[in-house]
Amino acid sequence: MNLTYTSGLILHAVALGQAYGFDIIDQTGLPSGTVYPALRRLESGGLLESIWDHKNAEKSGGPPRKYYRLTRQGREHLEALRARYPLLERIAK
Amino acid sequence: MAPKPRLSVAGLLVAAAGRILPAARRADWVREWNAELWHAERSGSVSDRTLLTRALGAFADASFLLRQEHEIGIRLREMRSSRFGSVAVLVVVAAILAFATRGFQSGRALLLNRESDRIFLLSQPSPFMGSGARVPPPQAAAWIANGRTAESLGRWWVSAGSRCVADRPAVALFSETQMKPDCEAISLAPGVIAGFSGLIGRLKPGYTFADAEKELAATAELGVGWLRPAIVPVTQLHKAPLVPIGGALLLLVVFNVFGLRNCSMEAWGWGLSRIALSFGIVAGLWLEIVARAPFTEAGSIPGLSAMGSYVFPAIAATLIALRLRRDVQRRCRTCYRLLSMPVFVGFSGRCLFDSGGIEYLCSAHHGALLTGSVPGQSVAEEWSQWPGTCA
Repeated sequence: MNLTYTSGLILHAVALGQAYGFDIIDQTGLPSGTVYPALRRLESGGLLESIWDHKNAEKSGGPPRKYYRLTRQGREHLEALRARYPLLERIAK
Repeated sequence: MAPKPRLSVAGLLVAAAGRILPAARRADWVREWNAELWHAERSGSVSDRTLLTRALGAFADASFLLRQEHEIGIRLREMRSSRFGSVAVLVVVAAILAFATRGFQSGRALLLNRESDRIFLLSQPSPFMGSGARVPPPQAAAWIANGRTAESLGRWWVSAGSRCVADRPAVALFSETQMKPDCEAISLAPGVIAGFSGLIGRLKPGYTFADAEKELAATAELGVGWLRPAIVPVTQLHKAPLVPIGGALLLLVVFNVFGLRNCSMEAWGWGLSRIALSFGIVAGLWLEIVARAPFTEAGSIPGLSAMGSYVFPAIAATLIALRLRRDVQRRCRTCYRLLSMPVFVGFSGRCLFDSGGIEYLCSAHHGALLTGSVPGQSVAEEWSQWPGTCA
């Protein structure tokens, strides 16, 4: 799987705890038309997994959101990306 | 709790984008987007405009999912990874080149026939006397039939080499004309100008055939060659610039495609589009020059017209090829993306003996290119393909 700089940013944001789609958009500054396709690609590539957040939904009284988290393979890829793109950590903190 | 249908513009956009998706995937997808919109709206952390912009991204997301789902996409990816895929790509390249050539010919025909009623045949001393026909016989026949020959402009004679062969070009076209015994006398007679080699003329905008006739007559009286305010003599219109155009194509193909060792469809696509663009630029400029420029007729300087027709596209093709070569050097060998994020590499303590280099990266993680640190430095460039990517 080819990992782009954009993918690296998104993985990094997810690793920092920005689990929801719009939170990742806020964190990275990337447009939604970039972030969501990238999330789909990373998920189908096994680097991310998604879960419906029913627990927080009950608290807020709203619909459950889908949140993303890194898989083991995703963490390994992120480490490789951080080594390759040192600026990743400076850009998204 | 299921999200309620949203009535906001953003919600409507998401609903519209969701219609693209197959029903099996739509429900979850809409649910995710609506939930994000609901929470963003409720928290008030983003403005309505931002929300709208984000909702527009739903179309890109849905399109991506659709492509992922699509069976054709899967088949294409499978084909790409097989050997058959390479053969298919070559076939497609050949087909595109054939279509491009055909397109060029059609475009050229359109340009040459532009204001075709203003084109006329001045003379055609061949195919007898050892030289080839300047104008295809059917085309010449059509012009003669329409009265668009130099004969309609007056009495002229035509020469082939140093010999007079006829006093009327239209007569000289197809008849087995013998050298006229009284040619010398005709050439000295008042109102008869010196001969000219095979030419096709195009009236300049704003001029008529009558103007051209006056011009030719004035030229004859002065005996100084053509005045040419009314006529743009166009030589060799029928000859396609096969050598420079073909040469340019070959260069571009080499520089763009084979020189890159491309392996992805994207790279092939980019390479081919650049070939087509360059091809269009060279061909289009050449055609415009031929159609408009007043200097293509050589007359007393044999060979100049041919040079004008062929040297320009050759120079243009060379310049474009050189530019592309430079450009190609800064592109990924796999995906054809422009390389980015230049980083100086080397040891500062060794700067006196080793100036280090600059490493460019492919943003798609295919590899890196190491070049000299000084522009124009004659350092061999080194491409490193990273593991897991095709070469």
